[in-house]
Amino acid sequence: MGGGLVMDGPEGRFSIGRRLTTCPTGLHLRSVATEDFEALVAAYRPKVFRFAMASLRDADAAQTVTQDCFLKAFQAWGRFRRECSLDTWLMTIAVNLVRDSVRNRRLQFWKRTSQEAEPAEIVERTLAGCGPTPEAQIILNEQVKAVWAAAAVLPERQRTVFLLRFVEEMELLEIAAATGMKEGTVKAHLFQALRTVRQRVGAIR
Amino acid sequence: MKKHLNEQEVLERVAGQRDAASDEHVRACPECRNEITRLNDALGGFRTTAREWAETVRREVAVRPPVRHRGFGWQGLRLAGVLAVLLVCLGVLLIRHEGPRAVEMSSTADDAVLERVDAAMSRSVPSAMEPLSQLVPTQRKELALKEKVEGAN
Repeated sequence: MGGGLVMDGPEGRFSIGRRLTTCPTGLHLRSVATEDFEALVAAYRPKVFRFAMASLRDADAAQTVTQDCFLKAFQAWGRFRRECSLDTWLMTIAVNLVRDSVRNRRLQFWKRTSQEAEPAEIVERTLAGCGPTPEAQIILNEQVKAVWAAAAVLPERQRTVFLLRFVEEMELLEIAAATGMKEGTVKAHLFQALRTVRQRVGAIR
Repeated sequence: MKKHLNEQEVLERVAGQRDAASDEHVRACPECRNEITRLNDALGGFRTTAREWAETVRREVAVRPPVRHRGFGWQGLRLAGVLAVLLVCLGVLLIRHEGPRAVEMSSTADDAVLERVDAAMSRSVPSAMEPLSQLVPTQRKELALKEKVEGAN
């Protein structure tokens, strides 16, 4: 019996672990802990993917980070002591993997990234009808695009803190736990990131 | 009323840190309120689009197998090949450029060696015996000595 995890769902097959646990009938055997873990993956996969996608802006890299995140979580599942929330624990793994991915990409600068669609297109599509007037709508679109542009040029730590706060809506203490920084350091990075964002957004009136 | 919120206070409010004094000021000051609303709207729009974008991409990516960004892959191999060819070309160019000068330098060095050999060969006594040769009277000294002896006779 191996310690693998296989998940079949509407989004296709998602497998964790090198060996699959199969019984003679071909059905995958799952322990109670594995069942728990499957629920965890189902609940947190969108969040981990979203953070990876917003950080890396590369669908394949984000997918890899998400898979690796749950693989690592599965391997460490028995050692998770619930000293922090499950959410924070998973985000800690995701933050480290995103950091590694950014560093690897710096070394593999020749590689093409697989961007699915520009955030600018998504902005116009998603925010359509949010402004009270056409002019206000245009200004809002431009301001949101300015935030995207600012987020793209932020240093790695500032971007991580900024995304965890404003996309994942995590509290400063949770961000501190997930990133391994002190709360004061998190604040400093967050304010610096907001300063950059404010400058960019402020240029659009 | 306080003049206006400074940048730090505005950022603190946007980051979710509020206090009674700034709350009161924002209620009374339309300028500060507008500035904070503008930033909050932009950040809210960013959150909405980031979530929508990730969800759209996640649904699209889920139906295809993941691509792992590890190892060199074909792109890396291609780049390595191009770099190797460039290095070889650069090497060939350097050798061609340095060739005539190197031949010239080596011929100059050969000439210098030959000159030293000639000088060594043309010595009447080996260099180790040169101090002794100072003690031996030269031909001219010998002639002068002979003349002196003959004159005395």
